[in-house]
Amino acid sequence: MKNHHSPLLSLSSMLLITTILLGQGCTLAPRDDNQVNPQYQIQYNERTGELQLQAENAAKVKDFNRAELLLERAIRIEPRNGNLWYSLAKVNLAQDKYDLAVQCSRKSNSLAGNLSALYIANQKLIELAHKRMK
Amino acid sequence: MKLRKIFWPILVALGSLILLISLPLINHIKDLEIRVEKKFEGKRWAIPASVFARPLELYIGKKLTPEAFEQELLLAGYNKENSGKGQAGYLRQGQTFKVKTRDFHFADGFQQSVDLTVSFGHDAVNGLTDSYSSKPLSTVRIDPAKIGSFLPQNNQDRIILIYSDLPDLLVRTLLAVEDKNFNRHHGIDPYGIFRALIKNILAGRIVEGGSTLTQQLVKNFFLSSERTWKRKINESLMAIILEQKFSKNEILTAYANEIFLGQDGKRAVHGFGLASQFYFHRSLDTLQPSQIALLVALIKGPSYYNPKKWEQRCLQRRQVVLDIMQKSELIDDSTHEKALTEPLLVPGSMKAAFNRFPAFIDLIKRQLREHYQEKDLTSDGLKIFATVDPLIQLNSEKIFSETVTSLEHDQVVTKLEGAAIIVNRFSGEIVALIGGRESSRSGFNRALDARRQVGSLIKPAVYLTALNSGYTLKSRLEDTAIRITDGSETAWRPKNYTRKEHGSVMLYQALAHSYNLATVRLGIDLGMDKIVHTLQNLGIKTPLQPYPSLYLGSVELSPLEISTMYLTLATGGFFIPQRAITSVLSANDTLLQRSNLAIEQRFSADTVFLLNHTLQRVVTEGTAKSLSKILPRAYNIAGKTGTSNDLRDSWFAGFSDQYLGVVWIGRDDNVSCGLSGATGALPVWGEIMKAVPIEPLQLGQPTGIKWASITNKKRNPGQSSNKSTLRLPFTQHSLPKDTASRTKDNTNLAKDVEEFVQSIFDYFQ
Repeated sequence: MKNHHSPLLSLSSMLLITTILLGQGCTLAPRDDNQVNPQYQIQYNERTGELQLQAENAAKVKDFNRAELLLERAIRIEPRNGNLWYSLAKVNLAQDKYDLAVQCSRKSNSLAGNLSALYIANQKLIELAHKRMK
Repeated sequence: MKLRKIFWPILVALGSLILLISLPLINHIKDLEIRVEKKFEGKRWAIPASVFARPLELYIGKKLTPEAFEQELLLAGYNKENSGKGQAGYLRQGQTFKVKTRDFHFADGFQQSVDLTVSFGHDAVNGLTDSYSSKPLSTVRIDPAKIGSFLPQNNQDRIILIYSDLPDLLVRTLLAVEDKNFNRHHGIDPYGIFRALIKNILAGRIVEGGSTLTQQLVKNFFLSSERTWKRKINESLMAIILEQKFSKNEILTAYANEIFLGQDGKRAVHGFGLASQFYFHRSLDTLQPSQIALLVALIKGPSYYNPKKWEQRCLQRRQVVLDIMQKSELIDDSTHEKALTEPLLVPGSMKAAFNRFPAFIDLIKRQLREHYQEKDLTSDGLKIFATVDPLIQLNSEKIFSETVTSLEHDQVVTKLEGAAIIVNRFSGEIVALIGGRESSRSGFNRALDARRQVGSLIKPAVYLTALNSGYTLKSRLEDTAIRITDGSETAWRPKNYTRKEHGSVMLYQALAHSYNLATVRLGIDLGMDKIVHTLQNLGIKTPLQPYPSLYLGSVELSPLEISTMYLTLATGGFFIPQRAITSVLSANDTLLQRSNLAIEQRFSADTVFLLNHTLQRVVTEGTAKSLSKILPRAYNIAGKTGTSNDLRDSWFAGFSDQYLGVVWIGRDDNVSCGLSGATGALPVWGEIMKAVPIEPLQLGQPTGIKWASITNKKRNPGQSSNKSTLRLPFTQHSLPKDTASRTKDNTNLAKDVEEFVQSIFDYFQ
């Protein structure tokens, strides 16, 4: 699944696709229960989805090193996948690495585009990180 | 009575004499005992740190040819076998491979061996399944190639084995050939010595040695090779002590790890484990009887029986061992016959797989020294996972050397040297590093240590500062003569490379064509502080002298620093520290250290996009236009040439979709090399990148960018004005009001079609 914003799509097409995605979701995995943005469902694809899930499982048992290593591995395969950078931001947030979490979210946003659900999720994560930094 | 009177004194005198003689002997034996215990207990060998390349990831769609895949497997020490069943074995049938990977401890955990079937089509992976269940696999990671080790001071290297690692056939052959009575004697074998003596007298020369394995071990461990009685006596005493203190299995294992079996350049090959990799590129447990026979045959003289240099001698010696194996009923007649006919070595083996990339290893050591002492690096068996891509590294080295030689020939210049770095632009991982033309030799590492004037390579920093300060790509600059004084009589009068002035030009043109005069004027207008700040944010740590000549690159930087700077541009404004190491494991596979993927947004995506678009114009219409002779325009490369004063330094820094590359060409003696960035470093860069699996650059347009058509009313001094229309990107708030036509996005169809047709034409040129 491509996460790269194409300049050729009109604004109305982008809005339509975003609505469909938010309404139906296109995950291959159970609903994401992350507390950062419970509305956002992380998207998994065939190529890196398994690595992403393994990373999430590692993070759940606080094996953050392993979670990061798995996500970095996935990012090497799909560097433009904004979901992967968002997942990395969450792992950093869970370790109280707020600066890094913000930066990973910004990177994810640079790939997500302005009107996507992922962008909103990243913005919420950045807000939360800033809040916790104080 | 008389006898009794003298008996005791004689006894006492004799006793005293014996004591006098034996006391030093007892002390000597005690010394030997302490030496044996000290060496054998605890750390017997300094185990060097091993360095691994990046592992190859396979997934559907991965750009990879079957030939490149096979090269990757060979580099990782895999063997082409008929069955593809043994670990680290593969079988190729056209475009399809059956591979059995190794068990391997990665930093993220243990990965069990996998049987997989990989198929290729259109230069990419198009099938990836489990060989037995045919279940599709999403991603598979091949265990990495070992590319080097940090050796202890005595340059020994080994793969440490335990007793259960030793194949039964190897142990039995070893004893049959070297020490038949190993399990019966206590360190020395008087019967063996006597037998050897008789044989040697009958033959009239030395045909058999009488030393036991224990004595050989002692000699290797503790003693010199001098042939003296003193050494022989010490050897015997120490062998007896060793047998007293340690079990037969422990002694045999120590022997198997210690025995010297060959030389690989500076590196001595000790132990059967390492010898098996060195001679046959396989683990000890997978060796055939003929291969075991060869290893045992080499014990008598690894140099004398070197299978590459002295094939006939080695064949004869191996035959002796095979005959002993047959006579001792370790192998049957048919195995014996078959083994005699097998070649000594597999073609292509005995190539040093280790330490092939000394410049890269040098970088790794430097990065490790920040966290470890030298002693830890060479004695604790660390496993270091590096970022090098072995195929890109190998190909780049070869192409670099060939292209620089060709430059010398074509341009009639001499003593050219250079350096190159290739970095993954998303992760900051360094995938290849070239320190000089002679890549196989360690020495001056120009990629890290050559600090050279960068010339125009600095200009993107000036223009980025401008774009961050309200300038746009269409802002007008004056490319006219300028005189700068510092208050004294000395004046600096910069010149363009062509010595011509171009009058009023647009900002993007000034950068694309690398106009010096426009750049200096722009720099002065912006102010030195801002530009220095930009350079620091781009990652330059070298102190910068705040003179106007800085705007034209009058600063000495290394290729590594330049790649740091351009990486920040290539990532869209995110600073990423470049990494040569991803993680370090201890000898027992515990994660000790990892360098995580750390990024920091230092520039707005919008302004960096504008700058990168201009860097693409450097390649399409500017100073790097000649790159199209090597790489089609369809690759949309972004880059910048750099040339220092008097053509002493030739640079090119550029990036494709996945990789950033920096090349420097020059002479070590800093004499003019006669090459500009476009005539020197650029073609070298192009040839290297052509061999890397690159894809067309997609810059990823930020949503804050809009395009507009601009009328370029150009008037050069002495020329009539002419108009042309072009499309340029702008940030939302800087979109010009006085454009010929305004469009909100890139939908100028006629221009799109024209560029598309041109790119197809270029691709097939």
